[in-house]
Amino acid sequence: MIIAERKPFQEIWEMIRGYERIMVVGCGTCVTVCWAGGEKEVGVLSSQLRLRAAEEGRKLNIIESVIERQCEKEMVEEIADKVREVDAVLSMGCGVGVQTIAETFEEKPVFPALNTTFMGMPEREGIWVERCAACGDCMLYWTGGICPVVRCAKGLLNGPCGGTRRGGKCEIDPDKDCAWVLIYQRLEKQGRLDLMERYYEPKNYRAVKRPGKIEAAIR
Amino acid sequence: MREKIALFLCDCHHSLKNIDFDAVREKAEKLEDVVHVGLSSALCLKEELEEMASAVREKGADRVVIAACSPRLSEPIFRNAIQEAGLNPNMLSIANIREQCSWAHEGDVTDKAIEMIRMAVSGSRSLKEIRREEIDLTREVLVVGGGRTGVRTALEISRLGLKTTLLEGTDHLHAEINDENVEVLTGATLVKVEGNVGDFSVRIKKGEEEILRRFGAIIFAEESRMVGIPTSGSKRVSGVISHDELDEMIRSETTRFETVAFLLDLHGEGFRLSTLSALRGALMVKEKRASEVYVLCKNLKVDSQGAEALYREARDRGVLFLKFDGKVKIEPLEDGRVKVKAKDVLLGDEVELTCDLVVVEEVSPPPSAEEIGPKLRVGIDSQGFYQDENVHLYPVLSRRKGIFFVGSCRGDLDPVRASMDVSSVAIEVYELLSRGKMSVEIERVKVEPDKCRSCLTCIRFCPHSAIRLTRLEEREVAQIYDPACDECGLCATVCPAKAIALSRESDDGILAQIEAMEEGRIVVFCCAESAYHAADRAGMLKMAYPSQVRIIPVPCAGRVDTLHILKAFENGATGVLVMGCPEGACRHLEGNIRARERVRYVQNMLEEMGLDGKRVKMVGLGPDMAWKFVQEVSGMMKEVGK
Amino acid sequence: MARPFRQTLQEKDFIVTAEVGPQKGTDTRKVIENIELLKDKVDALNVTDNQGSVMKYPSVGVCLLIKEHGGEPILQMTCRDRNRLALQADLLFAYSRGIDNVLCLTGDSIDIGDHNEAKPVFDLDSVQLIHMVHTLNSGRDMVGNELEGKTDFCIGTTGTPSADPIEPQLIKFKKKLKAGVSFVQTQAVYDLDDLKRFVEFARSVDEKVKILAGIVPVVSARMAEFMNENTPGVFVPQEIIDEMKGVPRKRRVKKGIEIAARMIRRIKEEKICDGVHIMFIGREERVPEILESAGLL
Repeated sequence: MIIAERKPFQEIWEMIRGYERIMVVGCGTCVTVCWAGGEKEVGVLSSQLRLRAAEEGRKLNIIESVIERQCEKEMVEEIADKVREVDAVLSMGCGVGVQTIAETFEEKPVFPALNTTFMGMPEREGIWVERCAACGDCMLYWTGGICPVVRCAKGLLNGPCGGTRRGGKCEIDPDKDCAWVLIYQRLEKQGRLDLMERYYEPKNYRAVKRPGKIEAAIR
Repeated sequence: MREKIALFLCDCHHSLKNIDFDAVREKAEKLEDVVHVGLSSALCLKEELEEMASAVREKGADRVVIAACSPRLSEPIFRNAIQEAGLNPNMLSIANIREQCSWAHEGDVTDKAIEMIRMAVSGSRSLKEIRREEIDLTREVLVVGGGRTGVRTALEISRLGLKTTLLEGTDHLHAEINDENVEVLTGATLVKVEGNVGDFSVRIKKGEEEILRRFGAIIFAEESRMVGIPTSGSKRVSGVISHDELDEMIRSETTRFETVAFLLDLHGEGFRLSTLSALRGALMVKEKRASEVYVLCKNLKVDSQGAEALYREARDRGVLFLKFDGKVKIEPLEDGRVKVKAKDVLLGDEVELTCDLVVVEEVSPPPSAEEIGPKLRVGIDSQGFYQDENVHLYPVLSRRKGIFFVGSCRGDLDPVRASMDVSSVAIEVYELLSRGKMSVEIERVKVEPDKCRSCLTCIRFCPHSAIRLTRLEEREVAQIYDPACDECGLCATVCPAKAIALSRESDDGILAQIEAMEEGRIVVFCCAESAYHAADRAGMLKMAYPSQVRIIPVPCAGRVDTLHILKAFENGATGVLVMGCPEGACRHLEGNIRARERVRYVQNMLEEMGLDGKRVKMVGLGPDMAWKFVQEVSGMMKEVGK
Repeated sequence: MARPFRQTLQEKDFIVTAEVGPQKGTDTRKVIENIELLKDKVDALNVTDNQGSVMKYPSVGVCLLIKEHGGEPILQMTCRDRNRLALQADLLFAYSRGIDNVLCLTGDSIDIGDHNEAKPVFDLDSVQLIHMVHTLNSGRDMVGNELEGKTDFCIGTTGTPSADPIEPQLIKFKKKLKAGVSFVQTQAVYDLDDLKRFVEFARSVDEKVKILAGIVPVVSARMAEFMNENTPGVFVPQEIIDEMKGVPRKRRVKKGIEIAARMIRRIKEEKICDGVHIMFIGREERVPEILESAGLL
């Protein structure tokens, strides 16, 4: 799932400076699940903006809205009427959502209220961790289901580096596990350490030519 | 269709002299959708209630607002009354103009009374009818643990006429059971438990077989164990034995020993069961086998029945008791004996004993607790025993309805206390299951399936594990199981899609009350278990506090949403207090902790926005702490008030 | 002219190398001083490559200076800052200018350095880099094109004898040995049992590889404790920390040097490995003292 988090309030406030009528629009999919841009967060941010506007004696009208999935043009088009009533749209969707809204309503400035950070999963409630870099060349078969591209801070394929801290923690962040130590432990459990002893050729970093595009055959 | 609100005022035998009821009535009559305003001097009297009922019927009101004394006293009476009038008992809002208005402030409080009534009227628009339904419950009980407590529990439950299954991991019970209503499964373990109270589906493994059963309630009755603990790293030291081994030795050998020492309190202090065991052991050894017997302890916990007497007997017979401080050093000697060194508190000096035997044992929670506790989310305490450390759960409840703990699995309980538990749980289970049905208010808290995003947040947050993922028309959505729901509203607050609604204390209702307030108020969210009572008490004790205070009742402090707090500020409130129970006393286990985290979040948010974070504060207090209520609201007034 | 390092590796019993760190800037006077000081006292001089992810004058630049002043350089090459094109190109350049010893490293993480918002490259890892150098040595580039003029590098790499856990490190290290290296310079090692175990493992894979133990003098108890907390793969035993405690400030470096020299002597006497690699960046002028105390001059 795409994980995002809200930008600092001041940064958002600067973006909407000068606009009196704005829409704050959330997304009902990934960003709802990771507590960043669902209906509740739309309400909270709108409340904050109004409070701040009142402090400064500024006029600010906000239309609050939620699109089921901001990355679908048809769903975005459903808010067209409301968009006409505002001067700018503040999207609480991920980067994809912001851009979809922006290209659907080209004459309207569309701003991102979130920083989209990674694809990941909840380790437990409130804690999301990165798991996939969308490299387009999945090697999870070889590493016991642990991705070194994303979970190794240096993305090594023949790890670990010499920087592993005591207890198997990462050189960069002592709170993070060294991915290659995890891979070692996983493969050992499965009796497949031969996979780690293998030499891995340099990665094809152009497996997905950015910006990526996939044309799926009709099926 | 607009609401039709019938409003009733009570001036409590004309005693609320600082409220001008005529002025109040005049204003009230002008409120939108209010179809009737009645004034009484004793609304709780039978005649008055009947009059109220007929007024409701006459005016065709669909909801009632009452401005009178605290709902703590009056709510049940008024609910009955409006039911008589043909309304659903939930269609009632009460404005507490006595304890939380007239009694709480000096001087005229007519304006505050009017505002409180306006708040109650606004809030009443969001009231929803709540139906009652009879839910079927399985009249079968599972008892886990075939020790002394488990066997007694199973027999007791069976006596109540409920079919019982007793699960035991080893191949024997503490005692034979000859009750055909009790099914005994030995050599069997619990594999999985799904479902909720009245409807647990349980998977049991017995040998190679897997058995599936349904139970209405589950009682954990395993005994805690006495474990001999290694005293030198992880290795057993020769000469250091457990009580069981001592028993064996006494039974089988005839050797005499010079010196035997019993060690208590190596990890932690004051355990009943170890104390009892050591005292009995010491007496037995003194009698039969040894010249010198010592008991080393930090504290002797003798509050079990008979323990004090055992202690005195032991002393009379010459058992020597040594109170130590700090750590005990145990050194094995070459000849097989053991040297024990400890600092004697009374002598103030280190004492050295050379012993033939050292008997060490400590109480340890049943091994299943570590695994089952988190898996079933029933709660374990800081020492690894079952049951959260929370006053609302004692003696035998768990945080999940229908799951109970009895005896030493929930702590260091001696046999007498354990049998008291058996009686308690019998009553609980009987009340729960005897009818085979539970009368439940349906959908007090409800998930809107279309809005649910299956993010699992509510499921993870529910302290009572009352929410499950259910398949509904091709999708998996969260669904609340009403019999297990304790209506705290934590789920509704935390749902990122706002897909969960409460029928009482709904978001709409809370926001409506906030919007009905004037500017410059101090909004105090009071939890129903503690803070609301404290506020009432402040009124009862005539402890005056600032009249800018407006109280909004919530089921739990954890129900207060960031949105509620921000809306209060948007509405011109100068300060917001969130008041709930102190740590370890929240009826909903983590509600107060969640509230505290949320308030901290809002404080940071305010600071980030360039506003004063001190305008919002979390307070933990008990229901009788009127003084603290007054102290905090006065403090906030002083800090930010106008 | 200094003896070629690959020759030293074959012929000498106890090999000694040291390190010089480049300056941040274009002024090469200080580093030339260090080169002059050390070039004849050691068998080869490593030059670090943006060490600690701090931007510095390039390793190849100082290697050229070493060559100009008659010393024997070892080019340190990390995978952090260059992709496979740049790595190959830089190696071709280095070889063409007479630098024929290369130490292949992964590289420190970007976060610990001063340009910590930069994009870390890590297009290759150290094992892949070793393979790539062999490919250049055989006259082809990584994708198989024939080179107009090949290289002939003497290849070395690093090792971490005190890593915890050690097993994953040894798996990786084995891959490096199997890829083919002539010498290994380890991270700072203080526990000679760890070193022995490491050398034994290396020999079991490749009898001929030369292992040089990394020596970093401890200059204060606090530095040792800091390294234990923060420097991965390095572990200063309590005995050394205790020995450093209570030493007055002025004598601390001397004490650290004494301890380091003691360790070197033990390694030499007990023939634990094939030599030492002395790292005293920032204090290169004190390296001769270490060599002297250790009886290596």
